[in-house]
Amino acid sequence: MLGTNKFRPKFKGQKGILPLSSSFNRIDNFKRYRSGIIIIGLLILWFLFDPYTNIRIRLYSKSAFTLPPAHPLTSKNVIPTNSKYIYPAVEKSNLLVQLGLNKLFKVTDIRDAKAPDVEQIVVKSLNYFDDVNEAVQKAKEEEENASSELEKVKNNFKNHDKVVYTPKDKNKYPEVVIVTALDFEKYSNGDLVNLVQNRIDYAFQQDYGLYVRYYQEFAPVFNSVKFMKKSEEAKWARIFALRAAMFAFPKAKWFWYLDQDSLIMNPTINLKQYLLSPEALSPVMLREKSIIPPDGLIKTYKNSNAEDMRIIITQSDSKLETYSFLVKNDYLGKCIIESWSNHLFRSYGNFPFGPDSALTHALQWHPYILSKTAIVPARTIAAQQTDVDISDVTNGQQGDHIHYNKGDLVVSWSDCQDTAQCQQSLKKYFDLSKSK
Amino acid sequence: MSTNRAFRVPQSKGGLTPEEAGDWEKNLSHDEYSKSYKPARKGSLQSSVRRALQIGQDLILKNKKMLLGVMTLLFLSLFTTVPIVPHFGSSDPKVVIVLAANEGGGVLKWKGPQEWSIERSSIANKKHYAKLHGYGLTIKDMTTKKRYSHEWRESWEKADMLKQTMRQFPNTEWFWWLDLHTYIMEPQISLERHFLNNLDNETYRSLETFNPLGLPTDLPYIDYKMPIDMIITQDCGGFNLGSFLIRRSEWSELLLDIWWDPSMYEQKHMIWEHGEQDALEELYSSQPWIRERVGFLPLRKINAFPVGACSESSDDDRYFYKPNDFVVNMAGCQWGRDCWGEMEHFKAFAKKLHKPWWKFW
Repeated sequence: MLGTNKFRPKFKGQKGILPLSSSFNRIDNFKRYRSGIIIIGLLILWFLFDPYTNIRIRLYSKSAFTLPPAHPLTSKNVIPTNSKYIYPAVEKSNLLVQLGLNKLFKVTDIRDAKAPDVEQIVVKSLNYFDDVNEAVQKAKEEEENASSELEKVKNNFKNHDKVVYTPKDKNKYPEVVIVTALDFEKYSNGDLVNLVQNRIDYAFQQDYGLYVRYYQEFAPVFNSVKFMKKSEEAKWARIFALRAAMFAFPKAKWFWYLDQDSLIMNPTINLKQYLLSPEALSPVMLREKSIIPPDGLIKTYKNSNAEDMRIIITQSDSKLETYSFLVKNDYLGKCIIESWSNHLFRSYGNFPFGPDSALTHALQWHPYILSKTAIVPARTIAAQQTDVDISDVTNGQQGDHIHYNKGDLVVSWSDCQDTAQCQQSLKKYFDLSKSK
Repeated sequence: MSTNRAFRVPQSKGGLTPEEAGDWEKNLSHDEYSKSYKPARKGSLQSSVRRALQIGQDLILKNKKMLLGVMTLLFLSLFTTVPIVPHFGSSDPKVVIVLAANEGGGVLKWKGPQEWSIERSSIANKKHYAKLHGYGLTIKDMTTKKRYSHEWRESWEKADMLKQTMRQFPNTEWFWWLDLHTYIMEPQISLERHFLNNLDNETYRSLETFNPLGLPTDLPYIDYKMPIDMIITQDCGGFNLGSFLIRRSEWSELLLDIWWDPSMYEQKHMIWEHGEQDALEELYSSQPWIRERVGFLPLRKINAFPVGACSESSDDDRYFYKPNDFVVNMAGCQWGRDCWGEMEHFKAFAKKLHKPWWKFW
């Protein structure tokens, strides 16, 4: 208490010249209590919101995202469309055959100085040579398109990679998108039109989206113009088509990859109620089912939760099949698809069935992926065609959970041996689907 | 204490009439009488405190068993980590430091006194740092194990250890992996202040600016708006995983699962010199999803090198420790350099840097 006397007001009891304002009565109170409370309050606010760090971040932040936006496989640009049915001009596919892959891509021979005998090629998409200025490029293409039909087909072919669905009304986004890869060398343009028409009919009825690509469009990924000759290797294009679809429909909830050798036979089935909702999936998914049928050592989990599933896939009698499968379009689903398409999986010699073997391998070695994958009976989304009439075979007999029967969602002839046989199957089932 | 008791004044006879009592109380409250004892006034602070104490005491004496139960629960909750009982106060740490110790574990050769000393210093250093900022610390035994024995496969033990730690600390967000031969030189800096609170500006996401490996700088489909889930550094030879952070997320779970894959390993193990480091580089160079969530810090931010490491670019300022750098990593000291000597040097240097100004001895 040293010196407290000094700080006491000196004119205690004396009156000032002016009378005190009535509101000054509480000035003493204010000084003693309010100021204390205010200071404590400010300190608490400071502690809670830490303005120093916030201010520092504002002051020192570089412009937030100077990083490039996501871009499609072969180009830096996108072409927005408001149609939810994205497919190439399949009716002109005969012109693509006429052009050939050597003209649809830029193919360069290179020779490595270290190994001059080995002939190497680099396959680049024509998008690579686009003008940086989009407007200039567009004008140039319009000019080319007017000049000849072949140029138009060529430009369409290369630009198809850039198409992204940008709806006018965001509430009408399709929940499910059907993805198909087509081989224009296998089916004639008439057949391709039928294949696409079948999917559009279904997508229209169920309010889904459609995304169709050519297998051949992914030649730069394989860096080869002959990859379609090896059918198992060509299968990899499915995964890349699916990844491209995820880019084209970023807000869809599910993607259904359905290969070209299949038709949708029962368009009344709503996938959401049929398989995608957890209540529907949970009773159907096969638990403790060997990844490699019939008795592989690694099995799906017993207690897995239907809500966690990112991939829904089917098996034939001997292996996993990738001609029809479903992928959830959330972050993890996308990550799994990308790691599935890893180039080291593609180059690995011990994967005889391409992506089918790679997924089998991934499920057997990576428990996290296994815990996000559901195996369902083939007849749900991937019923195989058969020449044997199985309609009267009783339950539990060999084949009835795999083969197509009337009323099933899909019929698939992915096991057809040659092009003629495949075309024949397509014709048979297309007529069947129309007759109903 | 009962309040309606009549007081007896010694000189009066018999009880007081209420009126007299009133007078008496008036007299008592008189100023002149204030020096002597007087009954506690109703509602005074002293009496109410005493009253409250009395009630408390009564309650305790009546419910001894209940009290014992409550005390036991409190003890378990505050001072132990037993399950079922809710724990207050001991919230989970935001960052857990994972320290790899006992590398090789004396399997291939005897662990000498210098190795023991390095381990002691390194562990003490991280313990001190973790305690200072309330971080968790877990020390992982990296003994050579048979299942990692082929070629360089042992370096993938890292991924398994991280998975294990994530299970061990189920609510922690960030995990900071540190090799044994690291030393935190500036323990007063918290990771939050250092970079975690301002990740987007402290890190760089694409390799345009600094790309020692010459990896492709652009891949399709990369969405850089994703949050950063892994923070690593690059030295002169590429990625360095001597000191890195990883965040718990679906992404990191998938990465830790896919990091070691037998088919990739079979194709590349003769080419990959540093096991998991090269595997990550491989994934980074071809997989968009990996790129999206990896952020890079400048090497000196969490992983400065001593002179001697990265000897081929010894004039590059970006790699080598300068006073006041956060962490030093004596990378590669076990190959032809003196780990113990370097560790002792940095230990002494840190001590010197943090000597208070008033200490002359």
